[in-house]
Amino acid sequence: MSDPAPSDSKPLAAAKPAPAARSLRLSRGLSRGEWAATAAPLLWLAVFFAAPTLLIFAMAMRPPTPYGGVGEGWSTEAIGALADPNYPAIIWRTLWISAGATAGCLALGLPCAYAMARARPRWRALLLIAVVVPFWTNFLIRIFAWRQVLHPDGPVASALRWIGVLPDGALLLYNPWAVLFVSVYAYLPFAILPLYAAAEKFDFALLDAARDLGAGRWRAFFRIFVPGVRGGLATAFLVVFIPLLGSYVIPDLVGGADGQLIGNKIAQRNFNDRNIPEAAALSAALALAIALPALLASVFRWRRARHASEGAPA
Amino acid sequence: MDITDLPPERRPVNTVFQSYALFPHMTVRENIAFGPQMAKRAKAEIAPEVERMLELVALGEHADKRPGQLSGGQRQRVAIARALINRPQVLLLDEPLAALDLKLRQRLLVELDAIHDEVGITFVYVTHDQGEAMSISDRIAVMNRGKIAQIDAPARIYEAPRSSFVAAFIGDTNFLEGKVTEAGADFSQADVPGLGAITIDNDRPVAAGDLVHVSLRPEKIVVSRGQPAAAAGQNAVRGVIEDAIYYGPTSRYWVRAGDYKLSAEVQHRRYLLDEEPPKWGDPVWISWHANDGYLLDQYREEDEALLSLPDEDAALP
Repeated sequence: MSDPAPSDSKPLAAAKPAPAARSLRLSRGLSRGEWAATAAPLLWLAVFFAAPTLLIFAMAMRPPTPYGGVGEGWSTEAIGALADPNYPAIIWRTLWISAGATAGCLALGLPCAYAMARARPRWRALLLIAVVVPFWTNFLIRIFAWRQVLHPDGPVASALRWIGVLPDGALLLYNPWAVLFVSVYAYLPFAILPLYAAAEKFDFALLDAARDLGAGRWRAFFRIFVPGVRGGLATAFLVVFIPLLGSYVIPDLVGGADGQLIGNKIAQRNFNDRNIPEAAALSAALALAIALPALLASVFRWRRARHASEGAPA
Repeated sequence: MDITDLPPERRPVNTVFQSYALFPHMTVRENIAFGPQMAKRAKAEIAPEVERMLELVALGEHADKRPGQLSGGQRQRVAIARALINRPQVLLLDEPLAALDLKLRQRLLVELDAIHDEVGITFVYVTHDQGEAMSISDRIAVMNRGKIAQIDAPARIYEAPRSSFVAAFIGDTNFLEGKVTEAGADFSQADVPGLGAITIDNDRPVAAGDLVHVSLRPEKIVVSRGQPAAAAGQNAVRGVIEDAIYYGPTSRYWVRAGDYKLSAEVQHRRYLLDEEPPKWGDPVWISWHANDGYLLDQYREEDEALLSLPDEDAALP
């Protein structure tokens, strides 16, 4: 990858930029060493991400075989099946549960990150460990544990029923709200970590300045701290929202029939119906739904960054 | 009104922070408008006020840039405008120029002075730079370990320091310790062990037998090769040049006289290459008038550590 073809002069020039340009980093191209360092991860992405994604897109356009395989030739049958009237409701549910759980993770993660970044360094390390500690227990076990906690005869349901908040016959489990709640639980650490990383770099003198200029605690927090960690918010949003869109285990275990998400449908097409092209079509639709907004956002950001760098003084 | 217990947002005070603390995600205009917005003033009322402030600090053409796109001096001016727009009763400036280079600092100091004249409110200006303090202040409070050591006009701080701390902290000085041998009406005689008998000005009433400490600024001392003419109140001591630093307009001499090593600052008023200035090892006379020393009220030996001595890095005065 780092050896340019001798007949092609352009990559050769890119591989050997003028020394001055290189030291000033005016050249946007990668040096030979940078290419070498990037080659392995690029190869990894190509083999384990790009190729499988393209395969899924390809399978979506193949006909299914009666024995659960992928047939020859091209067919729009699987894509057409997406028009099933059941899907819009499930897609809508997937979106609102994912968005709600993401919002919950960000809303809970922000004050956590703030408190951690403001804590003394000794406490900070301890709190960071506390955030990561749940990962020591297997994910499945933790979700199963919630089934015990929220079980109709479990402690929470009994207590709520006793104080009269929970009507008889109402369940804490097997509904979309259970999926949302447990999703917030499961993904909160993934939100806290990038938020903390951003909060740690935040200049807390800015909050003093905001107070000095007449902002109360809350307004200083929302007007100055929250925009100040927006990079962390964006990362937290991505690492929580995108996996949630495809989440499968949590709705399967605590969602019941009313809490099924698109991930469950993909699994059903795959394991129950043995209709791999339709599963692939659903996956592809989900991937596109995630990739297109992300692509738009990065184009927008790239254009803004270019605009900002042009507006900056030399 | 005692504001000690008020939260910062309720105090009629605004601050210019040392690090500027400009909000990076807001433009210059938004930064300046932040205070009035927090005070919930009407939008239509805020906008012209912001423009006026932009004009005051000469940042009109940068109004829509973000702090990251500004130079240090421009950021400083945004910080000042952002604070002043709230019309505080007192503007607190916490080492506002510390992060800037020397030339910019001098220019901004003049600008700050002009802004001060224009807005007319009290500026409390915290600085470690005596030059800044002297040049911009009407009154200086010299602080030592969180306590005010002296509040006075700059010239009084410099010429009539109350304690050895103030004398040594602001500018450079020499301390002479002596015992009054003969108290007079205007001048008294004192014996300085290791230096000899000197005449002192009665800056405060003294009686025979009192222990006194004189602060003698280096520029008040005259260095000469010949013995100066005797006059009432004139002190003259023989010494040897032990160290000399040439600064251009002035030279600093450290003269060994008895047990003392006195620092003297000599102004070169004449064309120096036609002269023969004293050099290392030369025997000289040092002289000063009793009027030019000042009797300190309080003296602590540890303040001598603040004096510049030739074996340390002698800072430019």
